[in-house]
Amino acid sequence: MRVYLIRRLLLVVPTLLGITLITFVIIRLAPGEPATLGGSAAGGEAGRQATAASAELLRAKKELLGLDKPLPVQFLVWLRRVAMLDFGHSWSNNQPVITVILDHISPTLQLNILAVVVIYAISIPLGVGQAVRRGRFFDRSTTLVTFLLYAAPVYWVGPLLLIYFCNPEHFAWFPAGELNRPFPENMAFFPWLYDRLVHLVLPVACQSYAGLAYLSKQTRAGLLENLQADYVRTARAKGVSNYRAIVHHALRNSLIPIVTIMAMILPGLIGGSIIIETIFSIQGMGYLSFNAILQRDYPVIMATTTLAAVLTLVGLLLQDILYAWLDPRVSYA
Amino acid sequence: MREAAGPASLPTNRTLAEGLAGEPLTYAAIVRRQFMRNRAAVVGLAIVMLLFAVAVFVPFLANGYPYRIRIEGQMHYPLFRNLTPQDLIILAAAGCLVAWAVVRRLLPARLRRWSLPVCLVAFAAASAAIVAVVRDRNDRTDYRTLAMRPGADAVFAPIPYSPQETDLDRKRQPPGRLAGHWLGTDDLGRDVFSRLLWSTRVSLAVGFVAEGFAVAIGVILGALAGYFGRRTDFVIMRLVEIVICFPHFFLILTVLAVFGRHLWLIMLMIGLLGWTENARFVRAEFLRLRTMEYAMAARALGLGWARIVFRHLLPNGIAPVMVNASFGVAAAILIEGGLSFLGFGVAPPTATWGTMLNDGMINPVAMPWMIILPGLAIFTAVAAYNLVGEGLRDALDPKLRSA
Repeated sequence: MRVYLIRRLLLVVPTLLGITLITFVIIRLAPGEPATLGGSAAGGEAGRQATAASAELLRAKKELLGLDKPLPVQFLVWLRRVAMLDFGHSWSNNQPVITVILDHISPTLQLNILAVVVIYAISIPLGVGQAVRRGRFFDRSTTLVTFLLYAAPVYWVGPLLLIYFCNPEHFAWFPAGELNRPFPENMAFFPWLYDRLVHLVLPVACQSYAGLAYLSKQTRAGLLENLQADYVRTARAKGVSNYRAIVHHALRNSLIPIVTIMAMILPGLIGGSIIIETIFSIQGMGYLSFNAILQRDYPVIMATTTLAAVLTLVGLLLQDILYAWLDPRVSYA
Repeated sequence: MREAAGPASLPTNRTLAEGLAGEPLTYAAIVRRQFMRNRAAVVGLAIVMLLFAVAVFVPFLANGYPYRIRIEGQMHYPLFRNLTPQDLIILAAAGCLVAWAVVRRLLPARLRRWSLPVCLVAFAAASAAIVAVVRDRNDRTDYRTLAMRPGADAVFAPIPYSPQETDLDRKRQPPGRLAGHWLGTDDLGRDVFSRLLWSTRVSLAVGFVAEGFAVAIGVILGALAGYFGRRTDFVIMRLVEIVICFPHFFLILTVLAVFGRHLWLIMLMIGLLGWTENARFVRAEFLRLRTMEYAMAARALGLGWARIVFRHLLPNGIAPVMVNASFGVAAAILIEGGLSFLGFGVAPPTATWGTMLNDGMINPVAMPWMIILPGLAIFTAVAAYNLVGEGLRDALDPKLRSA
């Protein structure tokens, strides 16, 4: 196990280098001189005027941003900064990128955590029900429904929910967009919490419905395999109730892949969905990265991409390690 | 989906026995028969073929030019005269494909392997001729007014509007209110039905070309990794890991924002990021195949690695990729829709389902049909490709095979 752990950790190094190298190359390949774009707190217009005014200023700015050094040096500088989580300053508002990210992380985190809870809370019981009633109406119909949900694009479902559930003409059940009513800072805690949760219902629904198909299918398949196993028959034979045989004996053994999927999901929590956050005007990570793209705010783009990639890598690592740890049958000698 | 393995093994024998008694069953025939037994998969395949038919024949279904019209006593055929080179090339491609499928069955086995190259050459010649001869005519005659004249005797397509035809007097009409605009009009008065039908082209093109890139890259790298193992495998698998780790949608958006909204760039990026699954499947197959006797025999005969990998092993290891490719086409359509929805898709005024959604988002409450209809189209296409994929996977899985 320890040998496996060390080897698995060493495998991360080349991947990590590759990730940083590719982000770096993409940004360097981009046409248009970054130094002429944005940069000052006043925004792009001032930057362009500055360029027109003086080439000397441009050169000074290049030097400031480190753009005058040869590419390998620039890459090494970039690598060192990534390691120290120093992504520089956002070119659109001159704040440190880390501060900007921390400002936008909490809505996304709330949204994603709720979505993961919803996905698990629905699809595990659903998968169990499907496995127990295999081939019957319940199994077939719910499989079909989750399949259809999986195929439904979120940029279709989201606007439809807005049209039909946030609209006095139909059902004005939920507020449309944003995460709070105006001036949330004036609210007491519990009204605020209620308000926040009501605002989160539709975004969370959008974030979670597509995941149901995969996880319930995993649960169903895993449970089916175990329900056939000898030890479940033994449990039944010694008089354990059907419920106990399924939930305590079979289900516990089929949870391993489901737990390891969780390890994969967790690091992804901070990456916001650009589409969902755009539809519901939530100012989270997705909104931040989309705006960074629109404004060519390179430091923010590089920071979000690198962060997302590195965290996914950590997720893959966690998944493998958890799997080896949870399932003693797996050997990685 | 893995079902219980036990009882399914018996019917397999029956299939074999049947095959022995009657005509010999090829692997492809078994898979085809298995696929056809799956009702959902057949429905999916039917929808996919319908989408293809629409994509090919859409100029004849939705077009502002009439099939024929009599002007001052003389008969004109504007729809046919105004087919663009693109329309004609697509028609030629479809024609060659159908001709190949038919001819292949009629030819004796000896000549059969020549049918594909001959058809490809025929298609290349036809496209070259089309590009050389046909020009975009940019005909701005107002045939609709001309058709009102007595004795005009005009015959229009079932949906008598071109996708780019604007009419600001008739904008934002819901479905069914105006005769002719069956599914309503959009913010610029363009016919929604016409735009929906023309969009199938872009969606299918994106789906197939993007997944084509993904399959090509995935198969080659996966085959090399699986066949050579060791250092090659290590490098390629690290590459797979790197690509998996990147946030795909965000990366495509960034590249499009930087380099501009080109259709081929969208396809290329989806392909460049989507090959990893294919590579992993092919690699897994090759790890198994390279130890087979016939691989050893090929090596013993002194064949080069390229010939062994691509001629001997690949045909036996390609099946899982076909399954994954149909899911990949669905995923590519979804991604293209999402990009267009955010305004990063194909540049206007070209109609795609995603750009129509983007147009609808100007005021979704006032124009719900501009959300419902294009979304429904994407949903149908994606569900159809996924059904085909699941059907293929089940058909290829010997554990599920039944007589």
